[in-house]
Amino acid sequence: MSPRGDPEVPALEDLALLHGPLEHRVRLAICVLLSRHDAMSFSGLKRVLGETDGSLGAHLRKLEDCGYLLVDRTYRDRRPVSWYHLSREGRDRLRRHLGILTRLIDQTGL
Amino acid sequence: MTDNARLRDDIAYVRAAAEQSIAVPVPAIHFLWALLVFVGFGLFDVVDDGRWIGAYWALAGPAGFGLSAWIGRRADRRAGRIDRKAGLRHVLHWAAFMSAGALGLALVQAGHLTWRGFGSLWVLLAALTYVQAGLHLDRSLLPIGLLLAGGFLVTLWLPGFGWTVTGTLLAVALVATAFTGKRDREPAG
Repeated sequence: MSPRGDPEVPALEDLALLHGPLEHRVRLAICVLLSRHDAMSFSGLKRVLGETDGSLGAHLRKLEDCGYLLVDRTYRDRRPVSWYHLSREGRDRLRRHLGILTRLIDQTGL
Repeated sequence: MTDNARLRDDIAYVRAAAEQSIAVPVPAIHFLWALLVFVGFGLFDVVDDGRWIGAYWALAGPAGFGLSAWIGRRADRRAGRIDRKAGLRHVLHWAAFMSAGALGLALVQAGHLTWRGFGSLWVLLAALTYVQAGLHLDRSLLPIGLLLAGGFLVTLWLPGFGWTVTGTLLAVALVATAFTGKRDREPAG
């Protein structure tokens, strides 16, 4: 809530959240995709986002290090497959981030 | 780029990614049902004893249902997605149709409907189920539902090969949808 107590105005600490790990659009898109599906593989995310292996891997590692993502490693046709899904913390952070974005968009009329 | 422009650009990017990740129709499931429908509908015009047609659908229906669920799950995994809730939604939707069809058999047993009448009722139920699926699950199924609704009338009033005509049109529509629908690209690995 804002210092003035208006729930429609994002508080400073909420706005600070916008500059966290979800500030980058690829990381935000990864979390949005994982909130819509139970899990997605590295190759599934790469196909949807059109990122290179290196770039996507770096974004996933950052989210994993922040505790937003969990990863399960399995095999398909003897090839390793990494399945990513949102952690509880990642889901909470994403919900807050999207809530702030929604309020900002409502206020600025984007 | 201003903050507003960047934010708008980022939101468009995320929205495009979310739309791209939506599950798309699996051609193999359409081919499977095109074959089952083509044979199953044709039987009405060439087999006199309705019990054989009932036996065909009692086997082909659940088998096709199970096979479709397996193919759909496999296609999702190959596309790099696991979506249990969406899978369950599809399974429950088609299971409701199968259950309604099975309960409709009571009309035949009670003497209120002939086997052929039950067949037409089944087509009407299928039309409703496909339209609902087109509205709520997969837009490409909507034309098939409308075609089935027309087919329901054809099975009642077209003499001769009304069932074969309906089955053929439906099979063609299913195959056409499989070819024209948006597809998942196979991930590299």
